[in-house]
Amino acid sequence: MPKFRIKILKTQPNASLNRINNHMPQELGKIFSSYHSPEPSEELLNEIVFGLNREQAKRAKRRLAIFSLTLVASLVAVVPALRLIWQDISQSGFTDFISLFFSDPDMALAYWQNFVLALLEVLPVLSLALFLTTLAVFMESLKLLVKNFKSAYPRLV
Amino acid sequence: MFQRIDEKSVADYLSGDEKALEELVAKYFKAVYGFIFGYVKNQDEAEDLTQVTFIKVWRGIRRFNHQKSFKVWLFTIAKNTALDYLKKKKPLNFSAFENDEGDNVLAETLADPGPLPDEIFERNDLSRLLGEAINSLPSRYQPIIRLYHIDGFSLLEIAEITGQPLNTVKSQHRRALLLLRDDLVEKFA
Repeated sequence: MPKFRIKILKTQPNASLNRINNHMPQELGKIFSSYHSPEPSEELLNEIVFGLNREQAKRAKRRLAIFSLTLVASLVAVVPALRLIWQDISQSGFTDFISLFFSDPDMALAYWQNFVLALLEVLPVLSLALFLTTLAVFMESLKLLVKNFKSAYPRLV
Repeated sequence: MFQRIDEKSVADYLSGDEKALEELVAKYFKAVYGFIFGYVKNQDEAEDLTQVTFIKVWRGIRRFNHQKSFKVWLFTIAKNTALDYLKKKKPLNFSAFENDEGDNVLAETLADPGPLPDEIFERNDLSRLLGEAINSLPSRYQPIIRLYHIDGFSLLEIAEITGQPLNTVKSQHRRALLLLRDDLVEKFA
């Protein structure tokens, strides 16, 4: 025999709608407390975790390929960027100002505001930005490459 | 054991704590399974879809809005996963089982859906009776009853999960309770 008995309410539409809020929740509360939700198999949790790890490894391998490419590309780009910056520095007279600072520091310090402005004017900003960008891409790619390598091949690390 | 708040677990996972996601999976996989089972009524399919749900959660976890409830977000994904699966699953046409003489082979092999007299006496398992009563509800009412009475969501949260207005959820919940009451009264009588 069931443990709980439901009150048989007369089926007057309005009355039942009003009374259901008063009676049914308590009755249902008791009934639902004895309700057992369908149980999954014991392996499900392990299967989910395994599935997540597999997906994570797949994503890490895809990223590994992408970051390997960006690493190589940034490495290749660093060399011409470095050459460009060197060329610009030698052509702009930047080295002349630097050598002036070492040969006559008193004068450079006496007119330091003008000296700094002159240095900024001849600074090869474009090639310097290009070089720093390629360097940043290289460093970031290297960091992400190592991180994704750990996720893709945890046993090797 | 110390239980982390779900939203903090998500934040911890995003900060690099791999175990935080596993904790969330361990906490909710049974509830998600039970919820999906309510839609598909098949253990293998429900387990597969539970796995798919958590993979979707992992894929979208960076887009999770920390101002919202993780549990509501998780069950919304579970509902969409189950509904997408049911949409893709083509139903078999009953008439496909008719032979040349017009007799339906399936109908002849199917058991009588009504319970046998002996079975009625065996059916004293309240939990099973309730499960049957829920399953006999119209499909749009079933998730509301499960989410409210079994998984402990508020009607407002259910409205968010099902994507329906709150008043619609309230009225559907009321109608579902009426139907459930009638069904249970009949079963208990």
